[in-house]
Amino acid sequence: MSTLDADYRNGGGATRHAWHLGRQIVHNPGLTASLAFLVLIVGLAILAPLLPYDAYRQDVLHRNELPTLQHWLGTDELGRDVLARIAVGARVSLVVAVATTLIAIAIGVMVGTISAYLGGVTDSIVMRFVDSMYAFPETLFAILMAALVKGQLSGEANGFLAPLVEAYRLSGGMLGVLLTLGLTGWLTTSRLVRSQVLSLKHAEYVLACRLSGASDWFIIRTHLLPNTIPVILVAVTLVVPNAILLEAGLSFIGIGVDPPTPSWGTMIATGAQSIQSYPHLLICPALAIGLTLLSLNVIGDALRDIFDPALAGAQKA
Amino acid sequence: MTMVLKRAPLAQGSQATMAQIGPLLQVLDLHVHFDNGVRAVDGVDLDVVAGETLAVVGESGCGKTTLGRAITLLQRPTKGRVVFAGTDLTRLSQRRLRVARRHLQMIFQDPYASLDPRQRVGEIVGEPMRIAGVNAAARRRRVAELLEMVGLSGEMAARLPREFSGGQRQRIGIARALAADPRLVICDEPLSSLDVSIQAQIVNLLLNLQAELLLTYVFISHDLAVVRQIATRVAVMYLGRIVELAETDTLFRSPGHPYTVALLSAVPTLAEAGAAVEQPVLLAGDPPSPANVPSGCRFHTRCWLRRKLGDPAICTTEEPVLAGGPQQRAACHFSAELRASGTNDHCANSSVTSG
Amino acid sequence: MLSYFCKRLLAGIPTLLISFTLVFFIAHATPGSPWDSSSNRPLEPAVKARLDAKYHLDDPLYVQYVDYLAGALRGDFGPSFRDRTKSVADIVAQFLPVSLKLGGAAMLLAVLLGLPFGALAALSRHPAVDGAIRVISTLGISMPTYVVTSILIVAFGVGLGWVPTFGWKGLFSASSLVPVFSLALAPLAAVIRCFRTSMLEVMNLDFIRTARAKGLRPMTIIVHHMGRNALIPAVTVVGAYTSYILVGSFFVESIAGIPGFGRYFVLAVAARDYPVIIGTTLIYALFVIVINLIVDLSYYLLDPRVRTEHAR
Repeated sequence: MSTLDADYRNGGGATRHAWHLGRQIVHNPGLTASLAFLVLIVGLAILAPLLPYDAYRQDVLHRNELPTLQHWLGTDELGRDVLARIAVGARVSLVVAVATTLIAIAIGVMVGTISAYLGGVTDSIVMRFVDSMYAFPETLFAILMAALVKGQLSGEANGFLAPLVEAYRLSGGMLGVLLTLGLTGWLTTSRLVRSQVLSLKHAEYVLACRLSGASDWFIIRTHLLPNTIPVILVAVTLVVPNAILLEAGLSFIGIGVDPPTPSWGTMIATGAQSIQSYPHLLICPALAIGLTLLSLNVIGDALRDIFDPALAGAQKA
Repeated sequence: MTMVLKRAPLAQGSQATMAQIGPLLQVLDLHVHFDNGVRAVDGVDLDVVAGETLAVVGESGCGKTTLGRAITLLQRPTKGRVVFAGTDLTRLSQRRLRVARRHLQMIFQDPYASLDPRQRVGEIVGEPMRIAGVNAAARRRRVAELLEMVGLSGEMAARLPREFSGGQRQRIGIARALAADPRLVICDEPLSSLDVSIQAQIVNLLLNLQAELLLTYVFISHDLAVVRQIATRVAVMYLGRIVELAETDTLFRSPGHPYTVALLSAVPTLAEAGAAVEQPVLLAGDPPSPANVPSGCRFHTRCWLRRKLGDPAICTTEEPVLAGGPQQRAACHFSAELRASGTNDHCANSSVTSG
Repeated sequence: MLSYFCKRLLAGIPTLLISFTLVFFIAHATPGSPWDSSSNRPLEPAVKARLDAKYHLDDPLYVQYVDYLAGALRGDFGPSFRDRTKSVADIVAQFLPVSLKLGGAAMLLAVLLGLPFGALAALSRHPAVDGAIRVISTLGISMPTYVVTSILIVAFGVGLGWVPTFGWKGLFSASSLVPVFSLALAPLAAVIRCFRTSMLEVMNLDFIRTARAKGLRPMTIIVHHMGRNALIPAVTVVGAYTSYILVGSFFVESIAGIPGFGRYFVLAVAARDYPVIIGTTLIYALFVIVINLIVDLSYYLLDPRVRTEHAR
């Protein structure tokens, strides 16, 4: 018991976390299923080009087909293979999730660390700003941003925006989604990081380090950031599903990824229009995103339990 | 090698020119007031001479830890000066302060909180040298040396703090302090979270290191038995101020402040060891809030001597200053009477004060 | 009480103002004007200038800001770009009632179903009940509303034919069943979890144990002692899920073909109708902030501990 306590106090270690996670997988079938599904989706995303059908190839003779042996999930209103489109949609989700998380975590960690470390007026101003943004419904803000970004970038290239507009066009509208989600998603991270840095910055080892003549940057780099990693991982488990959810939502409304690039959100929106006759066009993408988010949440819960039980509830509602 | 070179000018200073420079550390009219009105340190003057151990004692909450942090400027004083080795630290810019206080180190109270759980022992102990720009190879050699010096072994550098016991962790903390080649070490209750059997080992280690490395200690503690063993002089702190400052033997033999008497009498083992205590003098109630310091003598609300003398008015109207000779100074209007009469008489009717 | 109310009210103002300013400058800081993207053929410079003048887009930015703020305070967000004859306020007045009914019904359903189920979960020691609760709450948290709506419509509308798959015939008709339940699922899961936790806490309190020891039946104790404790989780969830339901209505109304404000908003976004987008965003933000203010005040009324905290 005492060794356990001591270990817990020290924050464990990577091996300990891995062992804990391994034990959970064995004892928790839900977690096992979630991991398996996620592996399937990621595999599908990576292997999308190897699938027998092209996600963009239209086939007027086989439109709106129900699932068959040739087309496992059927074909859509233009005769495109639904499975292939789901696979490319998974790609979009994956790219959005990774890129958004990187942007949001980078901004969140920076803002949270600086705000907490400097304290005083800086901290009050930054946190007042973050709180105000928090009071604003996040999805609504994302919709507003995405609509404006799209309005600006989807037109003709002019002036200094030209390269951005070009990049936007090449990315099939994904750039706008990334900008929007990256810029809205850092709030939770910054709050989590801030509270962690606040509690760390008066730790005696930080004082000792400062006494030895360390610069602020040295302290942040060697003590504060490494000890914030568990919190950052918790933030990742919250940001990733949120990014996927928002991307699909924006695409559903028509301000996310541009057609013909398939996004699960766009597929749901078009599927909803023919719900009566071809329900599989709605159900397939809906299940894809629903199960992906479910898996991510189950895995996130498990990871949060391991990294920091106290933080598990600190999710934005 | 670099570290030795860096140390050289200071070491010469401590032997040859110290008499001209004066004390190694001078604290002048130091105040630390917090926004919530708490006056943790409220006008402290102290001199610390090279090679001595100055103990700072007092109840918890009297401001001794804050004093330690203010001396190192980890806590910015709101007023007053801290002169270390002839340099006024309070007037330096952040950048120059970082260099100036390198030889002023600290040993912390909680050996669990004072080591970064994610760093290896070698990184922890080597950190001050890394900051000072010592190269990795020299650092590794010196870390092994330091670990041996504090009674650990050089191979332990590769381990993580959690593999060590509290006493060993405290040794690691000491090694880290030594790595900066300090002249003055502030020991902030370094024993209070350790097992009694371990405490003695750490005390011996500190004494040996002092002799070997010519260290100067400011030893913050509430454990008078340890203080008696280790200190050259003792400063007694009450509500943010020094109420008595005396040589250790003098203080334990004939305390000059009624608060000191009360503190001494609370430790039964001191009486056995021949200190001037026979019957306990109990302090009435808790100390007042440091946000709301009593008028006149700040100790008067709990002072047994004042009650015995029939509540003299001066105690509530005039704040006594630290007065006396070089051996003993006390901030009490009736310090002379206290010492002249001997403690025993006053202690005789302690029951009056215990209520 | 009054001073607490005033303090909270005042604290909400900067939040609103910051939101407003943010929205305004995001909308205006990006280069270009609304006329660039609303049509494919470039406008004549003269026409553009006249349009700019008409909508005061040629004023300095700070003038536009003050004008817009003054307008917003009066509830005037200007005319819609898409339908020039209607103002944003008209559109809100026309479409919002259906959405309010839908959202209100969902919230009510969540609370009315959630409280008994939460109590059941707390009282029952059966692992199956516990498991079921966990499944519902995980689903409620993870599943986006559009997925829930899609699956329910396909299952009960297309598959079983119990409910219509599209359209709206008022709140008290089969057409509202799927939309209301889809929106209610996440808050329902939250009410169940929240109430279960607070029930378990309260059941271990001394006075409940005493009552039980006196031989009172559990149900009697619960009804007598826990009424107030039931309201706190309900209020919490109402506060936390207002914006969820609001945003959820965009999707649910679009999929189920409900002529509410959510559907209108989605169409407006697709058409880049900026006055509508910005006005709606601000109105909704105001709505959420006010609801949260009301929720905070309800805590104050319901929980004596909060009151003493603020009295200090």
